[in-house]
Amino acid sequence: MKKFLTAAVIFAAILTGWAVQAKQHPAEFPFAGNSLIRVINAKTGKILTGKYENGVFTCSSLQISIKPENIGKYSLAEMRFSVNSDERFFLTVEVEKKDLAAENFYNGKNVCRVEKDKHEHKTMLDTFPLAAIWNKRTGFAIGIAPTTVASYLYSSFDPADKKFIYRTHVVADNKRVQNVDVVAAEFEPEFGHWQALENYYDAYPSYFRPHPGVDERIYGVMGYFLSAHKSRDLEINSGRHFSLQLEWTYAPFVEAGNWYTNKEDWIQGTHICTNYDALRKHRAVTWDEYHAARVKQFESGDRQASMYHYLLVKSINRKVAKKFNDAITRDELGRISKSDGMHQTPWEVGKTVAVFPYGSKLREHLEHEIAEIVENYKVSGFSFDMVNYNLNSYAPSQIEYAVGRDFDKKFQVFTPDTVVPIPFAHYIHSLKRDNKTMGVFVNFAFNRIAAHTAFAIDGGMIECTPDFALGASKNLRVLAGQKPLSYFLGFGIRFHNKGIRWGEVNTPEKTREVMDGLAYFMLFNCLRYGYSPMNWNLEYKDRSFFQPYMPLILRIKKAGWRPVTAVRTTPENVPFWFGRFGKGDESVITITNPERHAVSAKFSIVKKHLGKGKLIPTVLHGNDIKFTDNGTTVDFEYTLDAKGILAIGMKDAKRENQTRTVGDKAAIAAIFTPEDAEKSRVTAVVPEAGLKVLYDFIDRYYPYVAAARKYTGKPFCREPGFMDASFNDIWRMPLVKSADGITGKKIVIATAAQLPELKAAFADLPDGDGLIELRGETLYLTGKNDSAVRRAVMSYLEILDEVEKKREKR
Amino acid sequence: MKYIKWTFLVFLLTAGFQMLAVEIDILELRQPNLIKNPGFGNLQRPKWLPEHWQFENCSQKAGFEYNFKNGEAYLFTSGRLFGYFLQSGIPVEEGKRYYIGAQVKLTTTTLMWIRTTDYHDGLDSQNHPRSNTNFFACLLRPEQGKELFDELQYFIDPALLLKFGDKEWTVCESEFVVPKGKGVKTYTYRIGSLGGEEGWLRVKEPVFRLAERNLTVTVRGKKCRELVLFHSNGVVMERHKLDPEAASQKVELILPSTISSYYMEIVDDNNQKYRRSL
Repeated sequence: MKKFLTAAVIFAAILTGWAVQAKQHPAEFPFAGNSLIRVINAKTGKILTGKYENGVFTCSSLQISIKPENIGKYSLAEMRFSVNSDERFFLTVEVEKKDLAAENFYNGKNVCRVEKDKHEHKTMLDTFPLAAIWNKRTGFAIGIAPTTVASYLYSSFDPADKKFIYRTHVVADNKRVQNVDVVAAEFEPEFGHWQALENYYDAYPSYFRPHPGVDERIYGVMGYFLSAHKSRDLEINSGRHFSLQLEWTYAPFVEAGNWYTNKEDWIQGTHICTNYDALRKHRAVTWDEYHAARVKQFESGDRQASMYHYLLVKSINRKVAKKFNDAITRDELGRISKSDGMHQTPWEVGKTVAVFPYGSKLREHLEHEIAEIVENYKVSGFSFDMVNYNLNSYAPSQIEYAVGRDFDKKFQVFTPDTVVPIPFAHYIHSLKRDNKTMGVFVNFAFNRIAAHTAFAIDGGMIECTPDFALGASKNLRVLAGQKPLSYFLGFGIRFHNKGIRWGEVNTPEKTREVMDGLAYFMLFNCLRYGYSPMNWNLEYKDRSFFQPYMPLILRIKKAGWRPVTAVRTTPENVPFWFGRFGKGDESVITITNPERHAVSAKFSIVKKHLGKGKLIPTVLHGNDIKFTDNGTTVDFEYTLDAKGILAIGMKDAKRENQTRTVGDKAAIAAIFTPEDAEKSRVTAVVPEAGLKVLYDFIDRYYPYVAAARKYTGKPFCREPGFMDASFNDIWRMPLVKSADGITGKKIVIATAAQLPELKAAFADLPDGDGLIELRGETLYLTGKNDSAVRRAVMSYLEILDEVEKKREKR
Repeated sequence: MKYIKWTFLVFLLTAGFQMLAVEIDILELRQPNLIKNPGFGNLQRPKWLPEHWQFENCSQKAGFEYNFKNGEAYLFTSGRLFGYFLQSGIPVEEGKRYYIGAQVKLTTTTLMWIRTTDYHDGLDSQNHPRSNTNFFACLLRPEQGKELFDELQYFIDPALLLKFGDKEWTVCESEFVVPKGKGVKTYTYRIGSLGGEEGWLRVKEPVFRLAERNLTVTVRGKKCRELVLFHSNGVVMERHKLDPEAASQKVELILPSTISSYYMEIVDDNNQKYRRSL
């Protein structure tokens, strides 16, 4: 009997076990296009099993909620991983799509032609978080949404079993709910994987544009003023002349990590103010002098360019870091490097360490520093250096922060340092100054770029020219979408590009040929990918090379790069480079011919890719074209000369603001001459305080020109910090608020509201347009609003520039 | 020393192919390679490295694999690692210019690096003014190879571009001058991986030798009155008078560099010039 009972109990237990097991559900969920999402225990390699009820999967203390959504043309699975114990789960989220006979595979970086071999891509660096397969009829894409900070990406396609796999890692614990948003969808493959990418951009537009409210000058030319404290007033015309609109304001602090230099931070006798007397001529000053100089630096620069205060957010002085030991980066063996080699000022060589501030109280310290900068300096945002990948941080703080974590082969948790800039960017976007949202402009260096960093920032650069890192420059454009991007450094710096036989470039003729080639290469890449050159490049051939194309370059930069070119050609195989920018009637298409000979073709613009609008094309740059609208396409024939450039816009694009000039330009220029400046013979009338900065440009125009002539022999100079600082303060132009009682020559800088005498002139003037009007001895620089007045002043200064250029030639 | 003999017939091109004017023989005395075992043969236990060669794993991490076959050294890196094939104790003479080189194929960042421990001139290893005692002689980044060549060739004479990558052997080369009076006696030659992405490099024919090239030019043919040696940038380096009556005459030329290009012109009585690159 006892034996029978024992057997019965065992039998019942087995039955119960089966029953329990029967309720076990594998963590495998149907998804778009007959694909499957599964969650795998990375330690065992097995699919998790557990309960699945009401969209929530439970396995031990791990809960995974799965919510299906549609976003644009993509299906979205919002997965949330939470843990209600001290347990930690090392998971792989895998999406599998079967049975598409693909001819091509895009792994987020490269396109591979599918033949016999399996293709795998195992890095998240320089990789967009989307993979795609396609043949001539259909395509399918799988990826991770930009809402997820993914530090592990894997994609593969095996033609043997037609399995298309996408994977990412999740470290799930009780630090924070982990979100993994998976996207997948079919796409039309006419333009290959670019269509899948275009759909992704359209699904998440905010990740591919600067943050709303950021200073619009982020779309302009970036660079340096190369100025000094004692010549600040000379920098504005230099910056204006060299088109500078965003300054990378390098290391204006005395200690990394104490980015805002308080009086308490100041060590008298040790700390110095850089570029004080002149460029590279630093001075030991008091804190009050230092502070005044820094406040002036940002106020002054802002008159011409948006000022982006330099930070290297993942490297700070050890002295600061040691108060926050949990944030100091360790390697996988727990070792802390003596120095991270990322010093930002010469006096901090060997004194900086890598940190992961979020997840530590260091976060509060550094956020406070940032807030103080915004409060005290006239900044438009921050420029982050070296945001590309350098190392994996095993610091305790990154475990606590719990965003973008990954695990190694020993199942130790780490976070790549590409994640560090992300929460800083979010914090900076929460700050405002002068009603502007603070922006983040970053340096991606020239490789190892993470998509999640690119998604978080507003604009950036590669720290080189396209010939130095062509692949990175293309990758970054894909990762950044429509965000403004810039090249950096001058081209043709000998030995930077190892692909050129510099030993053979040994005659002036060959040097010229190579420099011209590199300049054209940069220009064509600007027109293809919507980058702009930095301000140093504009100087090439005394500004004659790039300047004619700058309006077009800046227009497409602002319109934003689009991946689908939307242009078909006959014959198909043409050497042209295509770029498409903006949407609808703001679309611009660029076509360039890199060849050394002319090439003709028939072109069809496929209208459905351009978006909504009247879509009536017009030539922006190139010869006249007869366009034929055939309903779905607009067709034309064209011959591009050797190195020919064609740009096509839409007739109904928003009109660009201009300046209307009433009066003879020579007479306008004659109102204010160098002699007038020297003798203070012209009075500026500026009734509105907000327009005083425009007076500064006119007031300092001739002192700048004279100082430039003294330094370079030419009327313009890119390095005001090297010019004679005594010109900073000479020849001040009399400034009054009202013209009452003022006789002789006057320049009136005011909005329409202040100028009833010009009422008739304003009647048909578009709102944003500037107006230059000469009446007797009074020159009006005006418009209906502040930006229109600024436009008029800038146009007036260009008239003076022309006179000075002619004077130089004489 | 090795001798290389070139014989050239120089044609005078006037209205058409007219006459055989001058015959030139060039005999080059090639400097000996100071690298021992440049063919990477004779593997030695316990590390299975070629005789006279070492491997320096500067990163001190796992991730490198190497082997040697058919006169080539092969190095795989799992990425972001620094490590080099190395030969030390290469003898040099003070004040002399040396040529260093190798042929490479690569998919990861590759560096040929020269240094002496006898003295450091304090200059930068990469940028100008560049060091002669510790410098990156040749640094090849895969991203500046084939893909860049394919696009940049439209903008720059392809002859001025390198096409390095995983398909074609590319010469990686440089020159330097041993400082005088500093007691420099030996250098170390390194070639390997400079922290690039996962990939490999293959190396063959490593060279370390005096840069100077010694040529004996034999000119056969009458009416030649001068031989002028030019640097490729057009600068005249040497002028040698020739005897217009001599049927055959020899001129000794010393070219100071292996990397620089030179050419010579032979001028005849009618001021006709016969140009030959060297």
